[in-house]
Amino acid sequence: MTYVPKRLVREESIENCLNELQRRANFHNVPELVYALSYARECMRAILRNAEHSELADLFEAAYGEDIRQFVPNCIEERVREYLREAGDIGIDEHDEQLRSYVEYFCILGLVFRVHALPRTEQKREQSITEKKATIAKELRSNGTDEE
Amino acid sequence: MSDVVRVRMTRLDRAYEECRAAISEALAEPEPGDVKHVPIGLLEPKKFMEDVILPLTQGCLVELLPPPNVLMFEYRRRLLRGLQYEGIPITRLGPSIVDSLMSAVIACLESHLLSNKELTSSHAIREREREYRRAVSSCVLPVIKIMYDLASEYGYAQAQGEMRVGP
Repeated sequence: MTYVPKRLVREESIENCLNELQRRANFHNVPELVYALSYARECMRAILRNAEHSELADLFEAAYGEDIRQFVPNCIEERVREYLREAGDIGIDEHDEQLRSYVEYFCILGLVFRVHALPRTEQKREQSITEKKATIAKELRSNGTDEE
Repeated sequence: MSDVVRVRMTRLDRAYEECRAAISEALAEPEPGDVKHVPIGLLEPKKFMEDVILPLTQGCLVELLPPPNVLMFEYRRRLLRGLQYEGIPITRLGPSIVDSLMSAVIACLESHLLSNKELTSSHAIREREREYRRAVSSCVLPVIKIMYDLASEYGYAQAQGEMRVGP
């Protein structure tokens, strides 16, 4: 089976998401975070919708070893714990809504980065297979010539 | 060319300057004839803390608190780190930032003033003045400055007008 992720996950949409999420990542206060996160969630919903109707989920799992649907929730739990461990006892816990929203934004950005990299990974894989085939063919030819 | 320089003042600049001025005034020698202002050297350490410096400190901390639109987890992380970097004895922030900072300031002042037996002598007026100023420089001013610096960085120091400097 040939994987063609960009057939269903339109590459231009992922490109837009990536550019916009990077552009909006420099927020300084709660209203800016809320505004940026609403866009990020739209991107995530679009990706997960596409994953339901395409081979994106399989591709994602093959490339990163993770379930695309669980990527963001797992990432949030992990990074919230990491943040609080490094910050020390700052009077907030892992349920803090602001912290979770902040982390969620960057987890979605991470998801978009990975999905964006997928077609290229696939292209690279195919390119690498083609190159390997060419090398083997060349070696076989040269061996054949030597034998002669 | 005009000698007047216009300096942009923010609400926080003003609050910070007022705090500094109030603390300096409390630590200063009273003006001749000023009977209301008790020289700090005449106060016992506990009395100096409870009646003079702690109420002033509390008022300053409340003035410098961030508004609710600040990302508090980030603010709290940087505040705790800044305080610890300045050697303020604090290991954690509780739900109330002001209460946590006041506890740290009290612990710091007590370690400077209450353990020093010389300061309890009624004759140690000069020593008390000197130690009180030193304790305030180590325990109170850094805390207020860290809050002010953080406030400036987070950009919630809204401009409130200008101050004219010069003749």
